[in-house]
Amino acid sequence: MRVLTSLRSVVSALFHRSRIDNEMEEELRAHIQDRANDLERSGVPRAEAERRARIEFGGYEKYKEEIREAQGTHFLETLIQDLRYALRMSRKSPGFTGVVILTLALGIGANTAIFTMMNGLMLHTLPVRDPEQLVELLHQYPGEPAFNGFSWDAYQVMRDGNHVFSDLIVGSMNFFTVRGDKLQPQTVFGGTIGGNFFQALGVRAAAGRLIGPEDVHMGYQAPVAVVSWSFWKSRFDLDPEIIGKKIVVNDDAPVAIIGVTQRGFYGLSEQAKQDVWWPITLGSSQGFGLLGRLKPGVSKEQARAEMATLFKSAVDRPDANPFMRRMELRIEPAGSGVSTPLSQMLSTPLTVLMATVGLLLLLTCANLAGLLLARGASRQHEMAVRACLGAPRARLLRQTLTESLLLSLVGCAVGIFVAYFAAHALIRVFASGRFIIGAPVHFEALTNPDAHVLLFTLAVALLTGLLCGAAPAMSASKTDQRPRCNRLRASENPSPDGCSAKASSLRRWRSPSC
Amino acid sequence: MAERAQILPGTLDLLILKAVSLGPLYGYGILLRIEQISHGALLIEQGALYPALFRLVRQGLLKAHWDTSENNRRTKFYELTSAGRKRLRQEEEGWNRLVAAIASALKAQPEEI
Repeated sequence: MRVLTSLRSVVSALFHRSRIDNEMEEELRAHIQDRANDLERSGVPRAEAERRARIEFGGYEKYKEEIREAQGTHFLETLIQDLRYALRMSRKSPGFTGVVILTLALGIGANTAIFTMMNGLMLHTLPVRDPEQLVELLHQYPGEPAFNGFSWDAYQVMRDGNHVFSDLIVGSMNFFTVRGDKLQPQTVFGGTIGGNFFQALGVRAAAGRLIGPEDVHMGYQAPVAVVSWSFWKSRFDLDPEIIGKKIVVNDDAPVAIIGVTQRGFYGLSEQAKQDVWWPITLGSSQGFGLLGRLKPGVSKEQARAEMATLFKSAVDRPDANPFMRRMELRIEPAGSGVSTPLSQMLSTPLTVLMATVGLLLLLTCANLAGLLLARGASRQHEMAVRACLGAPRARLLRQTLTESLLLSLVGCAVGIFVAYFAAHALIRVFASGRFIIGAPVHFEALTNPDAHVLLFTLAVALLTGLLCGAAPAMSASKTDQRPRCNRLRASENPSPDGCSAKASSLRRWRSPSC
Repeated sequence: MAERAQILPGTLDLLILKAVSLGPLYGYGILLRIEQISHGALLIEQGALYPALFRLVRQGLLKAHWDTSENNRRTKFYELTSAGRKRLRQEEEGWNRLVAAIASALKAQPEEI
């Protein structure tokens, strides 16, 4: 309640600023008049009475300032004042301002571009239940890329022998050709999955039912399929009659669609979205992609230790391929999706680039701090005048910081544009001359800035503004201004009564002797 | 006139609340009433009154309205709100406790220790 009243008074004070200011003046002047009248009645001559009333009142301007502060509008007002001043200063030297903003735009833009890609590739989370518990099982021959695909035997040993996973999920990705009634033959990306796939990921059905353990059989593939919500929308226009429709996959026998997954589910990788799923054939010689859901409290390292032992026992047989014996098992977090050729190709270069552009931005900050310092030196006179007129140190500090923050925020706005084009250009560079096998590549997922990216950019801009502005602000406000004050005063033309005209007009209320 | 005492920080609000509690007043009138009820023993820099008044209004302890004064001038009057009345009571009690404690401390004799 009290917060509300006080908020209301702040808001109304901001909007009715000039009226409130006038009323404040009226009230204070009335006070001084009343006092002068009282003094006159007690026998003091009028002129002397007015003079004494003003002295007794004390620092008129100081109290006005304090009243504004007491009304709670002070912070915003000062901010607006500082911003206005900063704008005026930057208009005065457009060349300097342009160079600073451009430098910042490039520095911040480069960071945003790389972060946008990292965000799309590694930092989003899969739309499934508790994605942070998911880990991916990979095997790797020393010096080669890691690969997620295990034999039926290895899968069985690891499924039955482990104590670290609450579920071991089977899911492989592949391209399929699909056709059917009212469905032109087309290539879709999909997967063959185990019976616990949807249930262990916590995915629900938008229509019909999803593939369960009852659909997975030894030695043959059950004739059923599940499609994604977006596939249902784009190919079947959300037709409720979709359940039971037959489609033909890879020219095999027709299978029936039994359900649609919940809206937003796209499988296990954002860059390789899946649209159709079939049950796996148990015991087949196909590769089984494996994903584990860690039991609560089990660490990645514990899981790796146990799974490595199980994996060794599965492949270390007298008749085994000597290459297989040198395979190492790896466990990687999969909350942001399983690894794809794209993520394997880009993760390391992107991380290196991110560090590079981060350093670049630090260098930019150092350069700009130097520029601002140099300009601060040429503004010493201005700072001295303001300090002499009574601006406290904190106020000067704030002013200088507001200026650098304004610059960095404008730089940030321009930088977002720079980032947009830079990310697209980078993707073209990365993708040129490479043929990526095994998964469709949704590059656009890597260039779409989302809320995370914008927040990141804003944080970078604020940090940059503070870093650039801190040193100049400290130096501008730190210098002891008293000697300069005296020099300034001496350089003013003294008026006949010994006070400079400027000083006396400013000090009219404070020290009437001048 | 007896020697005047500089008022303690924080006590100006209490004095203003007390002065206004005796009836609605305008700014200069508050000053006069404080001088009157303290028998002229307290020294207040007059301008300091106004930041305090605006602060008390913002805290909802006083409310202000414009009206014509007895000499027919538009004047801003302050009066106590119910929250202000409650605050005055609390502050009075606190002040009395403080004064009693300091007074008894200052009266302490060596043999009491």
